[in-house]
Amino acid sequence: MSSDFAQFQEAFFEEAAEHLAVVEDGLLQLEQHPADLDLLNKIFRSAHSIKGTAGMFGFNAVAQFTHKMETLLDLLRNGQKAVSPSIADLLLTSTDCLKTLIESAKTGVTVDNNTVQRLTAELATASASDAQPAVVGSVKTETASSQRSSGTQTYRIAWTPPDWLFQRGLDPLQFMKELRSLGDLTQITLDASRLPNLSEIDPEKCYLSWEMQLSTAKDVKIIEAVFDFVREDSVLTIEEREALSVKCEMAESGNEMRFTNDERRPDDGSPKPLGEILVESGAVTPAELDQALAQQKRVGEILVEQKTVTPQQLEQALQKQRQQESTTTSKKADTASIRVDTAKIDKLINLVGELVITQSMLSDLGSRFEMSHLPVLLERMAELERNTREIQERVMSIRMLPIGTAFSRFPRLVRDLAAKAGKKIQLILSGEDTELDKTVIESIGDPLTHLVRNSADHGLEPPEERLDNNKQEIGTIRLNAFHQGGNIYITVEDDGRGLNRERIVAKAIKKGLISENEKLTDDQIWPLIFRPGFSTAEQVTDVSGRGVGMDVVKRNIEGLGGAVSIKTTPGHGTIFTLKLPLTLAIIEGMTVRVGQETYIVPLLSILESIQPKPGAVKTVVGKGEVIDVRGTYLPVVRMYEVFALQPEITTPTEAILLILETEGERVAVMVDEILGQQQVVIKSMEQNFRKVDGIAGATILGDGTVGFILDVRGLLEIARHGTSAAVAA
Amino acid sequence: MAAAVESATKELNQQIGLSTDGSQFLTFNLGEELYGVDILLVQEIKGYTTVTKIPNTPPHIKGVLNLRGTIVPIIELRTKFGMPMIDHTMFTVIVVVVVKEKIMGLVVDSVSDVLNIEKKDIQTSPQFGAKVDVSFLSGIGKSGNKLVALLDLNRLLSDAEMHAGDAALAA
Repeated sequence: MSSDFAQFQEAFFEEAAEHLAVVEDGLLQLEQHPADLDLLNKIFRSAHSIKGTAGMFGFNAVAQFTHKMETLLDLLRNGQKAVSPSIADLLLTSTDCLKTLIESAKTGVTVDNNTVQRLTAELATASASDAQPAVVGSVKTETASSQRSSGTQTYRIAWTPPDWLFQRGLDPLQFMKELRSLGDLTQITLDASRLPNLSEIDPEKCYLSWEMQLSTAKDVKIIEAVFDFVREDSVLTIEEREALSVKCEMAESGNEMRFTNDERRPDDGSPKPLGEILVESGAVTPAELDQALAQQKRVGEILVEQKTVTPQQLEQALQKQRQQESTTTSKKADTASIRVDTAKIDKLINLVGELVITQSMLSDLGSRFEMSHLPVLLERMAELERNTREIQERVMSIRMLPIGTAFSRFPRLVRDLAAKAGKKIQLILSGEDTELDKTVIESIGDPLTHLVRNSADHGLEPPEERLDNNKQEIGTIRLNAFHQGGNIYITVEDDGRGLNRERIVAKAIKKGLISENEKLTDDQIWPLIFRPGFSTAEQVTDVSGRGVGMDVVKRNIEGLGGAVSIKTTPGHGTIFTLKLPLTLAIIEGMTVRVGQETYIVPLLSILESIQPKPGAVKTVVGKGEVIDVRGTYLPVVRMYEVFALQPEITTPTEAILLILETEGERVAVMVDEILGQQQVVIKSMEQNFRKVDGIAGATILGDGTVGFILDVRGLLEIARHGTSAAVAA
Repeated sequence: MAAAVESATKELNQQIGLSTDGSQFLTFNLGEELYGVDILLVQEIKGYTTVTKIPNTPPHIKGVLNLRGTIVPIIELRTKFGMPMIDHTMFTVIVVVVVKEKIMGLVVDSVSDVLNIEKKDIQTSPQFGAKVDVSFLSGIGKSGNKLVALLDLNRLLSDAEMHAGDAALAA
């Protein structure tokens, strides 16, 4: 496949994901407003777009499955059917299935065929004209054979039009359109094998023939009637083949190619299967071939029958195969792209234009500079600075996306969780327009999911309990996002039972995290739930309660340079607040000097900086230094010792101590001097080198040299344990 | 006739520095010795500028440099090969190479020439046993009367100490 094509495919997957989101979102809303025609149209349009583009790229399984969904949606749209909960449910499940199909088209991982097949059948049943909406729920377990019961037949139509077709001004496409109006026309294959060489071709003659498959409730006679005009010289066969339809569905999803030898595939250059050739040459009938194929077994099955392997061994081997499949395919690079508002780009182009003007004015000024021009120069410089800063902000904003994209998965999640737990939950989203960095959005999805699940599963009580406590039967989860002081805050709030202090304390004592007679404030107790393996859920559900999750939440958020806090009122609910930096690419830092080296300390981790009074620094056990900061003793870390640098100052009273906080721990780090505060662009060290202990990244300083950004946690680790590197150096 | 054309082309190619059989190497000096690296791996050559030292790294890792916004690690080849250090002169340059999509700089005494070395003139590196480590040489090339030690940059720069964890550093 050419790389250009791959690029378009990439665009398709992106677009499909967007359309899927629209479909899913729409379906969820549809449950609330079943008669909303606009909504139905919106869903239909998105589904239709997926079908169209999928077909264009040859993802037939996707296109065909979407087509089935579309048929049902069309009926709903035309008012021929009413939206019932079971239909909405079916459509939602189908959306999931479609998602997996698209994913499989992208990665090549095989799909669970049974689900596809079952859903295809259900969709067909639901769309069948004589099936009433109410029946849909009960036919769930039926298989594709239900198509027959609803009167739909599948016909295989082979048509070789007369060679005068074009001469009489007939268009083969018209015939197919007409067929399509009768029912579901699929698997149209063109046979161009009769086409002669270009030199011998008669442009007025038709050399083509088609084979197609039509699922319709109509009679064969009606199908034949379509071809009435060309009947005399056409070679036309119409065979009933409903018995094959099940296999066809399987073939469509691309998994069971072995069983589909009677199926025409789009010409991919591989030779035709034997069965097909035999049928074509007339040696066997399709029915005979079918029988023979039905007897054909997979290698695994044969081996099991011969007792060479046990079914378990086979299952293991199959699993291994699947794993290998998925690992080889997952290696495909996932290139990320971003969609940007044109307005943002236009603005940027304007700004760059201004920058160019300012630059030319400056160089003009520079070429004939006199001291008297100094004020003008300073003015121009200020303009340049303004321009540059604004461009920087604009460029950063390109990476900014509304957080709504991260929120969009929750309505569905909460709906499913509520249904599973038998609770009534409403989800209220606000601040979806709050913008933050794409990378941050991508990384907060999982922590947020954990928090929402936690609220739905543990936080909110069952309806009866809520009524007993004089609360509304319906529990509420609120997701909110807002900007505040250079940070993004995201809150997950529920009006459930709140955290149970006693249970947490009991569990913490049992786990040995705190001792029994420790007196702890609430603020010290709540963070305990973020410890690994901590869960007070009485029973483990498949949703949450295994004690993994909350610690992952904390770790992920801190990994992004953020923080999590909890506020809870027993009986009234819990609020989790996530504080996140606007972007990962730029941090606010304090530049400090140690000897000749300049380091940047993230401002977020600095509590204060002090110059200790004589005697404030004391030693413990002869070596370990501590400093008394308003009654608390903090360990002192001499940065030059940790990083093996040549310092200017070695006496703490002449140096500066930065009081830093990391993961709730405080430490005083000794540096020579504070140079200033500035925003720095984080550059990766790993890109060309590797991770260095104690260093979070690098940046380019004002003079063009490289400065390192301190990793406070890492610095502490080295101070405590040293690194093998330090030993070697 | 054809043979004559071929040999003529070859001669011409050699004159204009195109090699038909074998490859081109950028050669540089370290003390009295001549080393070569595959020219296709060389991105640029730049004058020596001061670098920022990375704490707690082996001595041959000189530090990092800002190369038009990219952080590039700089390796002092003299230290890497256990040669005595000398003061940097005006000839001291940094050869910027790209190995496995990673950009790195090598500090060398001076660059020398671009040489064509044909395959037949390259022999495998001699073994000295444990005394002298030649694992990062891909071979020894001959160009005229010059001996060029050809560096296997993949091995030299992708070894554990560059990318792996710190455990490997101590070794």
